[in-house]
Amino acid sequence: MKNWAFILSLSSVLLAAVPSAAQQDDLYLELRTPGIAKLNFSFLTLPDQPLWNQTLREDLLASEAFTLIESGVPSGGDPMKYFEALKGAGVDFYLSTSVEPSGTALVLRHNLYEVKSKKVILSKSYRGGFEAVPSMAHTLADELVLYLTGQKGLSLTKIAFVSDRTGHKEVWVMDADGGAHQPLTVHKSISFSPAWAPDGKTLYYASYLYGQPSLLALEWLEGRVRRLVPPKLKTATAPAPSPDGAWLAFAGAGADGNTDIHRLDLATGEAERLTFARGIDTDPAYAPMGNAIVFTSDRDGAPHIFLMDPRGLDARRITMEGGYNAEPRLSPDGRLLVYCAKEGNKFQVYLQDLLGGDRVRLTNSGSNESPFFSPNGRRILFASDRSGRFQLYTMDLNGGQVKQLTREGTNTQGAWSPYLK
Amino acid sequence: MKRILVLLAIVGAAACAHKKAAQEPVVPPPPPAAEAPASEEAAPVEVEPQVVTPVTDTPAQEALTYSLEELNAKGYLKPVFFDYDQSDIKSEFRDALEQNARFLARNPSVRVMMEGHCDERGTREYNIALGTRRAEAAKSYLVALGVDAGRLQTISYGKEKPFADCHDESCWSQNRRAHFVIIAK
Repeated sequence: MKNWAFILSLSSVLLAAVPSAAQQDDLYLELRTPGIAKLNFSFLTLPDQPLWNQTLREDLLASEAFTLIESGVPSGGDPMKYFEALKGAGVDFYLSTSVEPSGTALVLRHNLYEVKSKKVILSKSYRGGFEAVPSMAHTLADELVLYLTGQKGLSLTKIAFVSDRTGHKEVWVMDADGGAHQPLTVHKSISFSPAWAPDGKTLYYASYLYGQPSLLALEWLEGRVRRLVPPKLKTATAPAPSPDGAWLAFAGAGADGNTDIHRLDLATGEAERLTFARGIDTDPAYAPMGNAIVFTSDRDGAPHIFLMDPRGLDARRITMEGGYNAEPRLSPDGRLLVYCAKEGNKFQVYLQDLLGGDRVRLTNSGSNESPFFSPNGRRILFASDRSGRFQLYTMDLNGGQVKQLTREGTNTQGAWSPYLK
Repeated sequence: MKRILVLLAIVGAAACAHKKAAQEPVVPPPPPAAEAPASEEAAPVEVEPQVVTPVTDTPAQEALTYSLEELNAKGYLKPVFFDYDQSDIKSEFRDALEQNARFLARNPSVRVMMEGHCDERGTREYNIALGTRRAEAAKSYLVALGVDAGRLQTISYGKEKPFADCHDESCWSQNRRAHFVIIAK
């Protein structure tokens, strides 16, 4: 691979922290490596709470940290009597839960056992109304993931996306498991390309609300919207905030109709053009350390993925295969690149390890677009028309464990939130 | 002066001909360039009559007769279609653009929104950029034919507002277009 030297130098730029070989026997680090070790986990299912059972089960699976094993422990059974059976089934950790009605609410008391020592290693209680059952399960799932793996869980994160279910393309938000859909815009125009600010409080997006496509910033919890007007540009789309929240990279076209990457200083409103090559430059996304921008450019004749420094210097092409590669995103540790590549008349999602190795195709059914990493880097959100109309799905980094998140209308351009406080 | 501009445009078009069109800036070739002899002497003679100027024996001005809706429904302004991932004006659509220019010359108060559209076989943001190129290519062509640029606006819809909804070339070819909407008369 002629690009090897560059990829290696690139890796030192992009990588946040990669465990060294000497640390590999450490369980904590091992669990952070996608697709390797999973904890064998079992929990007591609650006979009267199917929604809780299902939510917890799906959250734990989506964390990619657990292999779930049926406990065989009857409800109300004393876990102490079943430890040998659990051990025999290979279970490492077991969660026991008791339910107590409390007025119109429920109290859920959880004990997490380490099967080997038969000891309770974590206790949590949650109280809430029946409508709060999913969020009690989400909160518990994140506590379990954090306690057992050291990683923050995804259960309380959100996904912003574009849906046409009202007849117009609007920006919506839902829980990371596909629940609790909520419209964020009612512009009755075409709104698209949502992108989360690093603090999770602001969503940037583009819209035809004012005629030409332009950028908007929505403080989604308060519902306040403001228009961002980059000076002298006719169109502005594809917003991409920098990890420090100071800049907003975007694709903009002036009077000549050529689209380039620009960046807007969010404090001053000053815009600066970053790319000057002939051809279309679009789809910017910052590397997680803020020290690079990946983007799509057709300056070499067909769309390919490029990388440049955040001031627009030193642009280099990083995809060499295929004839149409676009929509690049980097993993939270900066090591992995996902993008979509056109094959025949459809797009497929590809994963490329920037430390080297071949690109890996993760999808094969239908057209698959707009890949986006979960904040823990263990799952990839994408849009696919495999079932007819475009819907949002998630999958693991091997393309497995596919889960469909949306079903109503056409849903595209998912953007996974950062961890929300 | 006109002669020099035409020559420059022809030389430019010839120099670009071997490169990939998608990378080219949206400079329209002069309409008769393909048919014109390569000779520098002959070319301007061929080109000159093609530049559209208001004709004195104008037929009834359509804009005085019809409403905006009717003007658009009657299809006085012809769309232009493009090859996949391309934004150069194909020779078979030069007639359509010349007709459009003549209509605009007959109806000097008409203003037009030129929409760039793409088929679904492109990613969302890339297609918005490609549609921008297509709209600008069509606009530059009309301006080269003598239409005042101030009467022409452009907007790109990428693949957001397809004309046809199926998933094969019969629809894709319809969706790769520059579409003209009369917005004032």
